[in-house]
Amino acid sequence: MSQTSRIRECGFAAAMVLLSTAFLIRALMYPAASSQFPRFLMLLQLIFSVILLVLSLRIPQAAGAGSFRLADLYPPIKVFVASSVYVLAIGYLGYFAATALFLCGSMYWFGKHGPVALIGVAGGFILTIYALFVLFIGVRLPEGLLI
Amino acid sequence: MESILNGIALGAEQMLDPMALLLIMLGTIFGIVIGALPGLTSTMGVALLVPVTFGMTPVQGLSLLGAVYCSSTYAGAISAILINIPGTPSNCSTLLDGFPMTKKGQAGLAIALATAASAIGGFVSNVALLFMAPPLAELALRFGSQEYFLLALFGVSVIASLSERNLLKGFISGTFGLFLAVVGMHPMTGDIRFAMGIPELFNGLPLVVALIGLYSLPEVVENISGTVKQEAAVHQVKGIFGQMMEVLKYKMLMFRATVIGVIVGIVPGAGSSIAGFIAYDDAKRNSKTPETFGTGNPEGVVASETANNAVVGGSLIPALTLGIPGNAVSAVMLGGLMIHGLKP
Repeated sequence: MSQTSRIRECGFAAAMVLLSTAFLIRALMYPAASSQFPRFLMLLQLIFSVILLVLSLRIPQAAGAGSFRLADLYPPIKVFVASSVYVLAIGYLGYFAATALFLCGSMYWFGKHGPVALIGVAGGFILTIYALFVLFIGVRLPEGLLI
Repeated sequence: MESILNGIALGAEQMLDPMALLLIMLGTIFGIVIGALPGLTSTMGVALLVPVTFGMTPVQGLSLLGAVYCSSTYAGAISAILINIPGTPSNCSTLLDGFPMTKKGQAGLAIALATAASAIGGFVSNVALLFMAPPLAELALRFGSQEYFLLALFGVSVIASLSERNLLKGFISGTFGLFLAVVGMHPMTGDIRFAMGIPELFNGLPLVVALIGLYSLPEVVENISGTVKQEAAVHQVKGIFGQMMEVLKYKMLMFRATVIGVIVGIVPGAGSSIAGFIAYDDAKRNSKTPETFGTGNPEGVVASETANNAVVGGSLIPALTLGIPGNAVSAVMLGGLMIHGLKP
């Protein structure tokens, strides 16, 4: 097993141990009648996670295996940041303006730089959503402070 | 039997109404759009159109609702196969092999198999609805607490088959998935659990939102990492009609998946997603090449799509005979049927 895979396995197992412990403690704070099932589940998950952590730590690292790079973490961080900015922007700009900006930004990031493609796709998507949800279904989509 | 055949003849005569045929076509298109868009479910599609049917005759209204129900259940496979995000919860098991087929450049074949398998599963389950509704409804009534518990336990046991490469991780995922279901208000005591003070979580995690997040975010991360050449794969969607006959290679598989779908469908509370996973597990256990499941095996797509569409007819059996809907969509359908004067 490469060092990258080993760190991933150990990291996953350690995260699950922490998560299970936190949720188990939380479940113990609720009345017993309402938390029997979550207590049982989290205890079970804690046991499985500890076993996984022990097994991951005991697996020997293969000779000449690749090393862990910090750059591997960039894609999930980018997605998390972009999604968070989009959700926050909906509150200020409203659903349609935020979505149009998010779509144009995402397409530009993925290498689509033509203005026709950017405006066409974002405009088409917004119009479709407006027609389907606002006009046909009558759903009020989130409005922001500006729009 | 004679009354059933008379009913079929009467129904077929009424279905020749050009308006009903037109509504079936429009309902099918609407259902495909609703089903293929992740986030819009079959239940939502049928519920949206119930008020539209108020001004129609019963035959026209039922034609429209039936067409939306069937086509939206199938169409979720399109986004599951092409972009690894199930259009409806029913198609979760389809993406396990559907998307790997797309990555291998077999998106056209996967969609062709899903389409043909859906059509066959749906048709056979509707035949079951026509001829075996009363005895099957009686079977559904025999389901008590013990049987429901066993069905749930069987559903969870499918995890073992789906995660045989790392059973421990499968169990962790399984327990975490069950834990996510307890978020929100306790059904008996009313205590709010694990909602972290967020009012939107008081009624639990919304299934569709959770599904989109769980399936789409990893895809976006992989795309940003540059590990997926999806554009090239999606462009190879062609020759779908020509490849539909390939489904005939899997006759026994479709037969088993249809039986699973009909039986799961008639059980109130169990949905088409459960049927899909059980059929997928059955296909894997009976396959000559079980090790290829999850890497783009067409049997996985056929089994899953046949079963989740077979649920359509199955779920209407208790709804139409006993007034007990098999799932949420058939509950909405039943409401629409009652508005048009049909009493179970």
